[in-house]
Amino acid sequence: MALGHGKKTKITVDAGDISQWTKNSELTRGADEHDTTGYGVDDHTYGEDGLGTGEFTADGIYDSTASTGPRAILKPLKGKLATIVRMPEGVGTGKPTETFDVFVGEYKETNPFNDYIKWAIKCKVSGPIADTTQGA
Amino acid sequence: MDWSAAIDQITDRIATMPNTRKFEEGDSPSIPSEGAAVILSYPANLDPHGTYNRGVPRMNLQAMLLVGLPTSRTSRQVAARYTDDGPTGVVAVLEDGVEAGAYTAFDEITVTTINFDEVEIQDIPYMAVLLDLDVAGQGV
Repeated sequence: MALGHGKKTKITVDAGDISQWTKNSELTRGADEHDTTGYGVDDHTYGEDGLGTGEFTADGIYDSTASTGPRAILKPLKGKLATIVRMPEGVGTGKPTETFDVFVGEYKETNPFNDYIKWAIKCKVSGPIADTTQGA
Repeated sequence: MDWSAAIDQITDRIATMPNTRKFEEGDSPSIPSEGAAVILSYPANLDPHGTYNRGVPRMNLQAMLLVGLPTSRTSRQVAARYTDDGPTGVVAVLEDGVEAGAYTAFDEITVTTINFDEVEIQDIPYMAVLLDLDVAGQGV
C-alpha cells in the first residue's frame, strides 16, 4: 500500500507553475451516457464508449506577482484554451503525469474581509488526457 | 519562511512608534515614559503546508506591549493610544508596513485580535497589550 499526499501535487498552466499558490485541485474524467433501454425491462441499460468528458477545477491563494503569479497566469485565460500538466503524486521517477487541454470557463477571485484573497478556476477538458509516467 | 527574521522585523517595525523600545531578553523591561516595551517570542504555531509544495507558509504569534504598572491610570491611556484604530495605532503601523516595504521575511501580516492582560516578568507585574498576529508568505 502506498499512500499519496496532496501536498506534493504539481500543476502547470501553459508552462506556468502555479503549485505554490494552489490549495485544491480536482480532475474529473467522465463519459457521455447513452441509454439503450427498450420496452419490456425493469432496469435501465447503457451503451459503452460514449464521448469522453472532463472537468478540471483548482483554487488557491491569490498572489499579484507580475507574469508568474496566479492572477497573471490565470486571469487572461478566461474563455481561452490552455494546456495543463498535472502530476497528482508530485515529481519523481515512475510517478504519473497527466497532460490535457482545457477550455477555461471561469476565473474567480474572492475577497473575504477576514482572510487572504483566493482565486479559483473552472475548466472543461478539451480533447484527450494523455497519461504518461515520469522518467529518471 | 525565516520565522526568526520575521519576528525581528515585526519587533523593529513596532519599535518605530514613538517612545517604544525593544525588550532585550535577560534585561528587566524598562518602559519609556508614556510608551511601551515590545516583546515577541516563539510562534504559537507554524503551518508549512498552506499550499502545494510548501508554497505559502503561515504562522500565528503574539506581540506583547508592556505599557506600565497594572494599577496605573497612565497604563490605560498608553494602551488606548497604541490600540487606536487610526493611522498612528499599532495595527496600522504593522499592517501598512507591507506596502512600505518594511518586511522581507514574509509577505503579509494581519492583527487578528487585541487582548489586554496582566503579565509578570521577573516577578514584576505589568499591564500588557497582546496582539495576535497572522503572518504568511515566503517573503523576498
